[in-house]
Amino acid sequence: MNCTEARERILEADLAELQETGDSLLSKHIRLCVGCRGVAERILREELSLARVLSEVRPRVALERALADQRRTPGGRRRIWTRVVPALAAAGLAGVLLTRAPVIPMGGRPPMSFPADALPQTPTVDPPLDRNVVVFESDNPNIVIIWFY
Amino acid sequence: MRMTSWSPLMLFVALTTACGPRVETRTFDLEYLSPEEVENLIVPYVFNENARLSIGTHAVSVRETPANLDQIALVLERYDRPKPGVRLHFQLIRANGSERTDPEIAEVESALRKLFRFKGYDLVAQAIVAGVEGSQAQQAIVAEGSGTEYSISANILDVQAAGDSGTVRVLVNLFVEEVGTALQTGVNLRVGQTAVLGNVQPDPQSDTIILTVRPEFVET
Repeated sequence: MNCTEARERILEADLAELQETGDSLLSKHIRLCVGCRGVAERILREELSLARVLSEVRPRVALERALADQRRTPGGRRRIWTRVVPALAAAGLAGVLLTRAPVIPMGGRPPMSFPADALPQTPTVDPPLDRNVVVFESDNPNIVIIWFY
Repeated sequence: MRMTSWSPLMLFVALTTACGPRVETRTFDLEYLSPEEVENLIVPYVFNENARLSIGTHAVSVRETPANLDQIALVLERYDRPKPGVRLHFQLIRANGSERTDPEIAEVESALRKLFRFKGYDLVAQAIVAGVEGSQAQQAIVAEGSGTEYSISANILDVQAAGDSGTVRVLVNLFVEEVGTALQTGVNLRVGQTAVLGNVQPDPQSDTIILTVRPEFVET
């Protein structure tokens, strides 16, 4: 696959393919090609930014719309959730930060607090299919916390 | 008369302009780089009119100006080298464990305590696997205390090296005895960077398990 073909397919590709982890020709090309990898990373960043903005402005409307879309197009379920769930998660995190809510211990789930310097960063990880991911950078630049939920 | 004396000079200028800069062809042997990697590396140096590029499996021929060919030679000399081996350090940490800090996980624990409110963290097992790009390595380990058997496998998908630094993309799989695959994820890390992969809960009654992975380059 050459760069011209790759960049045409990047625009329609599943996000998992853009994260360089698939076995498709496009994923392989992105792994090897610095230029196309840059384009893919930019698309992923924009996807994340868009999800954040949507969640901060009207998360409930976005969720209802996504759920309606999901009901109409079952085949698109995974892609919808990969966009909506991180958006809602970002909205939740923003809510926690804004209200300075106290940390409440929970049973089996890890109780979390979110210091201001640990905001989620662009994931450098390909999460399992049935889970979402938040990536935290710590004070220590050599440690990155990748949390699945 | 004057017109006649200038004619050869004008002819020379016209010819050199029409022909473009002087180019020559050189073939470089390749040992380690793939054709796609070669293309990505040297295409930026192949831009002059009449320039040509032909990439084979073990050689690349380039028609370019001598200056650009020299640049290409330097680039290939720098990057056409064997990729380093990779050693992956894994640690299995149990959340809600001891409140006493284990020195072996002190840095990770410090980062975790700023995010989560578990009572403490215990190092329950460690493993080291090694491989090269494209290889798969696996190791079985038994957790101290519980005796639970785990198996960690790592597919080293991609290694990018520049001197002592670089990145490693690895697909990690954590398999728990009698449970199956508890975690499978791909992650791209700087060499020396530790990824803390969290919230593995093999079953609802068990403690949360956290897996860390840190890549290092090793001589092959």
